[in-house]
Amino acid sequence: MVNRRNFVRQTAAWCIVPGVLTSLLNSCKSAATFTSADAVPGIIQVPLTAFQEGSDRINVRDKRLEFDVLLLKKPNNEYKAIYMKCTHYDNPLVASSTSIYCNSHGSQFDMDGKVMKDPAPTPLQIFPTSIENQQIQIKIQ
Amino acid sequence: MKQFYKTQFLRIATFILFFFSFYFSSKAQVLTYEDSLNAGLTRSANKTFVSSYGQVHAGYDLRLGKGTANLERIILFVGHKFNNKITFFSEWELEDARVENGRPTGEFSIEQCFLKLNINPEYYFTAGLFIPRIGIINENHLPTTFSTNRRPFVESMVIPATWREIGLGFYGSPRSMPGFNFSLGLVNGLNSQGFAHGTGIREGRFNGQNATATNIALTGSVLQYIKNWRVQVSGYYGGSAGLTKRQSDSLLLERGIFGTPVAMGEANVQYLGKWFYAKALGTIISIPKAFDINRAYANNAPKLMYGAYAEVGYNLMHIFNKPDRALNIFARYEKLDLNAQMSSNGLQDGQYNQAYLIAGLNYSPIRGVILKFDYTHRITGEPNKSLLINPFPTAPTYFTSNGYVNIGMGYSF
Repeated sequence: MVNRRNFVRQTAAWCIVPGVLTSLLNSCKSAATFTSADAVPGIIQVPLTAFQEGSDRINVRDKRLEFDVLLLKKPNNEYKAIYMKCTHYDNPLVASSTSIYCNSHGSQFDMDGKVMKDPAPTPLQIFPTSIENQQIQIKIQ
Repeated sequence: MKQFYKTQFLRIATFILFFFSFYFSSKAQVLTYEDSLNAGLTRSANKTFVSSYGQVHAGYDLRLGKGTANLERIILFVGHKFNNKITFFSEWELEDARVENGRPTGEFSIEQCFLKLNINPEYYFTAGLFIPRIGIINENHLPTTFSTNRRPFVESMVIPATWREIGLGFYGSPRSMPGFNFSLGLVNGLNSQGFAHGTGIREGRFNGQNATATNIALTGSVLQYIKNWRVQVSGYYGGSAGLTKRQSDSLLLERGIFGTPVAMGEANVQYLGKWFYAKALGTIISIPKAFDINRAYANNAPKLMYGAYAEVGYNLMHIFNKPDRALNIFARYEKLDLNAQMSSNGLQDGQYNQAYLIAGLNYSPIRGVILKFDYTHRITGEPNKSLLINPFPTAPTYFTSNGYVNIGMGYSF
């Protein structure tokens, strides 16, 4: 027989685990990412220094966007900002060094956002970029 | 014992209430309408989407000299995005063109019906009737994504795709580990009474219909993308006897959460180049208490079954440099055995020790449309005549080697 005290105690323990887990996951950060802080209307600003030594890519997260932006540094010092939302069903995408994939239905894109494999019907959304005052400006509007 | 279940039920109910209250209270990251408007993303914040896929197939049996044509399936997707955190998905499927009262063919079913709850762009939960990530086809089964007219036999007969059950899923792709994905699922278990000779565990699925929830299953997968490679390992472990104590005592079957277990392991590797692809998959299923199942239900359940296949394909449009079209030439070899190991009260049947060699072409004039042609050669062992209780005197000869020519079309949008 479980008494009330034990019931409350054990149930609380059950509840703490997912609560802590969810908080931890929400706060997960990594070296290869950048979280936008300045809310310039319609623009995400990423300092050029955000790129790690030898790295040509960075994941940019901004609270105004549902998904991350994959910011790629091209050899001619240009930047490409790819919105990591699958054009098939709005699912999140994951990138390797040569392709971008959707796990949900198997779509595959190249690093220019073009469709390599169905079912995605159209290329990925590319945001225009420019550089001002050592900041990469990603125009999301 | 009754008190124990009551306590467990109350605890789980409280946990679910707590979880959802916690989830819905963490609104800090939810886009407001104004945010979305600023970002030019208003259209995606709240929308309903409808899409579809379908598949028609015509086949010719070279040995019997018989042709068939069938609308294999037509599917309607309906989804609704309530906001950027919560989305509803459903998949409505009609197989074999029609369902009519009293007719043996045709099936209408709900293949998926779940809510997707985004924690952030890296992690999300699913709740409802969903498809766990096991193998390749189970999750990605649009006809435009596999080369042959029929889905790979290993992923139909050994892995019973499309395998969906009711439960909770947790998916993630941590940013700190580029290219890495994982999934965890807690779903209702199987029904060993449905295991049947020649169909493995397929008929033991509940597929969302009145499933027993006193036996459950855990599934999980890890998936890594490395350049153009996709490597996945997945597993399943669950109970197959959701019986009452009276029933389990009577049938001498182990009951409980993981009672009379079924274990499955699977691994696959894919190379997804711009013009060339290759994939290989292997899976094994173990039913350690097959003896008890056969004693209870006399359904000749196997103790062990396995399957594997390898496929290569090349897009001939490479020659014409037309990346938006595809003319794939491909070949696949499959090997499976649905009764690789039997318990002492089971009977081996050679006809379910099978090998397939498939070669063909498919053509996609535009994305979302595919025309398919393939030749399938099947080789099996001899059927076990001891399994024929009342042999039909004029039954047609069973051919251990047979060929099938298949044509078909598929679409998805």
